[in-house]
Amino acid sequence: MKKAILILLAAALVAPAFARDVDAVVDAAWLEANLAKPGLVVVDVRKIDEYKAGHVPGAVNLLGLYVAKDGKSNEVPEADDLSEIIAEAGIDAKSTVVVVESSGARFAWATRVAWTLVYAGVPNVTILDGGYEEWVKAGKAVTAGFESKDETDFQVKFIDSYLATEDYLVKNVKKAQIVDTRAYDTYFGVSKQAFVEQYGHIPGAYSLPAAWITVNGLVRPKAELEALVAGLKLSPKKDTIVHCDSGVLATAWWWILTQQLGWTKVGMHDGSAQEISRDPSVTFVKGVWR
Amino acid sequence: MGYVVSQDVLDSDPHFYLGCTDCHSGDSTKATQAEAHKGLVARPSDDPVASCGQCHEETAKTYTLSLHYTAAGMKHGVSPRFDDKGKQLFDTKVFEQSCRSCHASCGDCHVQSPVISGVNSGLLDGHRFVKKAEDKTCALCHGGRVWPEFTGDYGGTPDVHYRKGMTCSDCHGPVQFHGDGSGYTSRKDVPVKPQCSDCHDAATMGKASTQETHATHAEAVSCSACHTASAYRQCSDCHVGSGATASPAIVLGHSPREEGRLTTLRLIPTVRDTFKPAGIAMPNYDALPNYWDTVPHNVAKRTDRTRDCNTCHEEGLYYLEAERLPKGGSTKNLELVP
Repeated sequence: MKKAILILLAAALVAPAFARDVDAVVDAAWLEANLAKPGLVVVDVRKIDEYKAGHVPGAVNLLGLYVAKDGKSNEVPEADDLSEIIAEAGIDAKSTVVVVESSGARFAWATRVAWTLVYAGVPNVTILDGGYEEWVKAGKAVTAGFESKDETDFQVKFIDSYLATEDYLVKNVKKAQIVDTRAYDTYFGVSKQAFVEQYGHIPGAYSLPAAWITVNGLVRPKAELEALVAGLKLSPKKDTIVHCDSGVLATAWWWILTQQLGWTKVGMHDGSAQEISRDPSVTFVKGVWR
Repeated sequence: MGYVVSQDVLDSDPHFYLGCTDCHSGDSTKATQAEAHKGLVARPSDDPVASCGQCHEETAKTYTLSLHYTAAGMKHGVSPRFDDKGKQLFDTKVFEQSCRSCHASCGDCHVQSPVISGVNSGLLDGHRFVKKAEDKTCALCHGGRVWPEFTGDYGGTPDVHYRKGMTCSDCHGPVQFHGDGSGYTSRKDVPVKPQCSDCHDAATMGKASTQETHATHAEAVSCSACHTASAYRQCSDCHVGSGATASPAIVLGHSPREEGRLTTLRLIPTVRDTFKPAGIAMPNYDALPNYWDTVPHNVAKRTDRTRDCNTCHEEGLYYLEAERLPKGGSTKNLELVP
């Protein structure tokens, strides 16, 4: 018994604390029903002009959660900047935050914001399935103009295990499950982004494209997502590192694996292929599947 | 197929107490298109006074002298490099045919998006007269550099003002858009321009150490030198017909227009043979440097320069260096090296 308690205690210390009390993805009906809920903050992450033209009533516009830094396209802002941005949006660690992107086609951009918020220490974050397009399609109320909330005193407390650094990836490249979330022609080495140095993929990486998460702009049912992962024989018990080209698509599968399916050992490599393809210790392979 | 201009638009916009022909001419009583369109004026507000000026008299009059309408800044920005013959050739062969195509009529900002290289993205709102639609108007002409740097569309950090919901007209007032009734040859000569100090009082804002830092640097360093967040576009090697190459960088150097002031500089893509295909030489090429002082619209409260004095004072990380000046560039460039 004592041993079991110790094991549980150790597991609790190692595993990230999932204190979420909201689903990882919500629909327009849920959002409408919960709009007046105390502590709910709707963040619209579209361009200012789109937001001003019409948004979910009460939503605040939130930009700047991913920035270009150190030669990489999408990085986490400095801690003081990020604290300020989140605080100015009226968010604190106890808030329930709903991220609204333009449509399902931008799901990975929504998860990039959502990942940043949970990484920064805001556990209750969810995503409006289908984005603002779905909200409008459902005939829900919209508001024009600019809205703001009272600034909080939020300070980031990063959950380090959510981020897989380049060093961590290099050290664990043979031990961990590497999940490549790019399109499969990129994985296979037929094409690549100009900012990525090598064709193909990290040896041994699994191909699990982010595009598979949604169908007709909406997130697939949980059972279908589980089946996709199970089909690749990926195990939630193993350390897992998800990556893409520049740290956006990877957050989509990070979000599904951890927040939807409950995996606890997944890190997101935000430097992704843009960074790791420049590392002389990692040679990509091309023209092969796993 | 529906009409380009719907009944709803005609009913809801007070401008349509006028009929189509009041602005566009033609003859609406004719049955065939050929006859109805005889004498049609596609862009009536190319002549602001004769069109919009019938009601908006003062604005239309001042607008005809504004830089948005005359595009004079483009002509005068390069003319010191030419001799008299070159200036004449440039005015007729390049400016009128190329630069002046960027001049904006009233309708280019209030009815449709502006025409760039013969192409535009159409009506702003079904031919309604729109007071402002910056993302569809300002953003198109200023879309190569300023707008995407402001919004973060090039992948950099969005400007802090944009992040807080501000767009062009929150800083740039009507005088900057429509002119003040005087003709200027450069936007640098326009007397009323937005200043950071219009909203931010450097003497009183922030902590004591921030106030001290601002006081120390105020005379010698521009705000943008320290508060520009991300690398901004530096365009190089522009030849007529072939366009320029853009690469991002923060470049700090002496202002070519304000002696003794360190500021952000932007590379001007004109090279010695830019106008050679048009038969225009630039015997006075070295009269101007290859950089102008610029205010990249990409402001942040904190940058690597505000966080660490050594970024400039020890490393001189972004300083223009003689060894990195464009090869074959103007000899004036050396004067900008700190």
